[in-house]
Amino acid sequence: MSESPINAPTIEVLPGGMRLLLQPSTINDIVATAVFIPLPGAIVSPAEAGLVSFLHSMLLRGTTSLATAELNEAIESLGMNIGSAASTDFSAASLVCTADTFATGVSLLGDVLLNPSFEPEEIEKERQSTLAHLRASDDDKFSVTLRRLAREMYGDHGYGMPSAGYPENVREFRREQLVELHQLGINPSTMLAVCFGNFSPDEARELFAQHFPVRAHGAEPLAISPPHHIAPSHVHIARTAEQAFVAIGFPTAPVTSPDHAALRVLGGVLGEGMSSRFFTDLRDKQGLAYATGCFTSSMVHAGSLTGYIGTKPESRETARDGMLRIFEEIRHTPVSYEELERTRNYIIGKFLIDHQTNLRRANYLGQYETMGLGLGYDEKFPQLIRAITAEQVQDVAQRYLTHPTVVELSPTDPTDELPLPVAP
Amino acid sequence: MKLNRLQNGLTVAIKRVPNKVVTLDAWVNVGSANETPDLNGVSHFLEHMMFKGTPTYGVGDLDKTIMNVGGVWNAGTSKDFTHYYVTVAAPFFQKALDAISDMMQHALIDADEFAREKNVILEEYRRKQDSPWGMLFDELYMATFAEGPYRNSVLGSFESISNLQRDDMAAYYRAHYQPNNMLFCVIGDVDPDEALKAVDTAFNSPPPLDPARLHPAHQPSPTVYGSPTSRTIQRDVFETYVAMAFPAPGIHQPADVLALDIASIILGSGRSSRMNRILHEEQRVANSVSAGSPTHRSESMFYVAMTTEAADTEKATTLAGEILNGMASTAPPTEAEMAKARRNLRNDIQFGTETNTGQSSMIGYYYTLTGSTDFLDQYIERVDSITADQVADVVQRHLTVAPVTLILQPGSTSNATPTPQTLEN
Repeated sequence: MSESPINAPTIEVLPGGMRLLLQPSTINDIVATAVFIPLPGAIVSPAEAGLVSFLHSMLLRGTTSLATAELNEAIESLGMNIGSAASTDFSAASLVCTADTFATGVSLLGDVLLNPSFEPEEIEKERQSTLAHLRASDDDKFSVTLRRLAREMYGDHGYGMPSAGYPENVREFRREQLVELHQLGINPSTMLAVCFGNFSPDEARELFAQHFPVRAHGAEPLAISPPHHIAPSHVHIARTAEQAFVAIGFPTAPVTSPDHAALRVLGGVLGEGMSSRFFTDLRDKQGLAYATGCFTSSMVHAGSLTGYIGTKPESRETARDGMLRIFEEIRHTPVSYEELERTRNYIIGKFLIDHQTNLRRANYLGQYETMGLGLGYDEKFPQLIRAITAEQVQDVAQRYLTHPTVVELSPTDPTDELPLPVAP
Repeated sequence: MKLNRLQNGLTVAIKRVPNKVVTLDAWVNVGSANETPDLNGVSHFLEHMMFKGTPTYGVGDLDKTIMNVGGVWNAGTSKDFTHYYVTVAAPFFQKALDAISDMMQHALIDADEFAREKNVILEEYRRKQDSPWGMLFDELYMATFAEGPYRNSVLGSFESISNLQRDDMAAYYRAHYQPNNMLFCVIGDVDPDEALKAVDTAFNSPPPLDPARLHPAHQPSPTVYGSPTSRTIQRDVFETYVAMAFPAPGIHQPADVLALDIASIILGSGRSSRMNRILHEEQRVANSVSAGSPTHRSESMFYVAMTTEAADTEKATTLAGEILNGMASTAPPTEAEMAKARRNLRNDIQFGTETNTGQSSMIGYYYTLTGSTDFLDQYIERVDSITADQVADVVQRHLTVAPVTLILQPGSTSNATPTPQTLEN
């Protein structure tokens, strides 16, 4: 095997307080930058759900020095990608460009993040786009099912609300709200910028010092509180569709919990990859579905393990009961060594393979730090997974797979609340 | 990158990338374009069945083998090709090679597994029907191509899938999965010479009886484009989806293909594109808009896709037509637009090949369609040589005719038979 052309990462604090994590690499001619901002998408009240996402969309609709069309032209004429979005626990902006346009890219990224103009006409255009996006989201029935599951599990907490909000909210967003949120939530002194790729560290330091100057406002990171406990529920959504969807969610633990790695392995055994239990049982053996599996969501204040399936409407109950059976079995039957080893290897392998692009590397480096896991977590994660035992998997299965919340979507008569199916 | 031809006819592309992982990507020169109506869907169904075991690997063992070494794998079927790709940490190259080479040469296509998997395929069919864009584009292909290789959907119809027989699939497998009808890519952290030796050993199938089978044995009927039309489909949707299609050249007309690639960037890629600027930003009759030029081996299509308010659909499609006519006559591409398009196409290749699978996908796609990698190797150089006049000319010749326009809008479900384009396993 050849020697890696990737340098070790370094971190420093710029005079204004912005943290800069730099990892030069000559593996290609691309530079990826990810800027992590302590502005959680989940920070808003139900009436303001979607406001943080709306703010991010507005960042790309003109700055105090560049009108929207000029900004678009400046970015796209150089073939670069600039994006900005909110996740539940933080916000992040990104820049992907070729090495020769890195300086221009950082300048544009700084302008986008720090100097948005929030022109009233642009707000109206974005409102129209966002409302159209929400309508299109409602045309994706699997997504409808999962969003309802989050709502059932977290209620009015930010974790339970769709990141793009609700139409009734979006229609009411005002310029003053955006200006205020921008002032409170976006300040270089609280940001972590990560650069991975073909750049000079000295140049990067200069560029970020120049284009991300100190701001007086918004010097404190915004934080959210943990969600309250919500009783499990069983909900049915009636929609005309060729397939029915079932999503079953269990509350688990936050990303910083000592159980996090064991929960990842549990999720892997149940529903990641073609050898997982969901895939081999529900798809391969029973032919119930094309798409079925499990995923784990790990947030700062909560976590969940979700199983899903899309199946023909007449198989919905069989599929749902099959999912519940698989969840129940793993609580009582230990995972074999072969299955454990295969799942651990799969999770670690997938994690490493997912580090191929410069932007993914920058994101991995920054997101763990932003979520309170520390800068070294990217290196540590494979070791944590490797150390998980069958006993630990069964232990987390027994403790967490106890109270399922079930959401079903199918083209039958609507029933608001159904009795819970078999409670494991 | 090294291209090699083994004695049995298998072409092997090897490229070293020092990133600690390796991708093995087997491309077969067969897709739905090769299917007769009776066998519509067999290429895709076969792709599923390939994972179901060989005499050496029992049912499920192939998946377990790859997962055991932390690898990820999948496959995709399209109109012109089918490919199978696996990525593993570089030390597990041989293990992955053993699995994928055995699968490509010795798939069992077990009858019981076939019967079970048919239900999975039918679920995939249902799933596609619930996807607004997936469903609309399948309809668009059927309306654009009255006859020819690309009218048929990749997935097949509910009826054709239901009627497929195991033995027909096995015969289809034997006919098309021959070494001289395949390309095998190795992209990653391996020694190219050692990798080639290993591939030569692993792919030890004898040469096929018909050594000329590099391009499809079954010659589908020539393409006949459908008449321009405008049709509305109603479904349980909230947004209105619009797709316009124009006949466009296949890859055998490279100058036109490249000019249309440039046109698609100027017209409908990104916020600064003409369509986005006029339809979305200025006139506000489209909520989103894009344009694209999916290139096939023979006659293809160019499309404009939009989401709109139902009331704005007519105005949006009329304006789109005016923009196309304008580019062909009074408003040809500016030098700034040409420079932007060239830059974006160059960066698309650079960004798209950051991953090993990105590289193998590009190599495999162009090799399968043309029989060489010249098109890809010369892509940037040739794009740079295309002039604004050539782009205006290609728009004039191909995109100023009356299109096929399909509109999917909210309402009671109407009859339509959707079929997807590129399907992942």
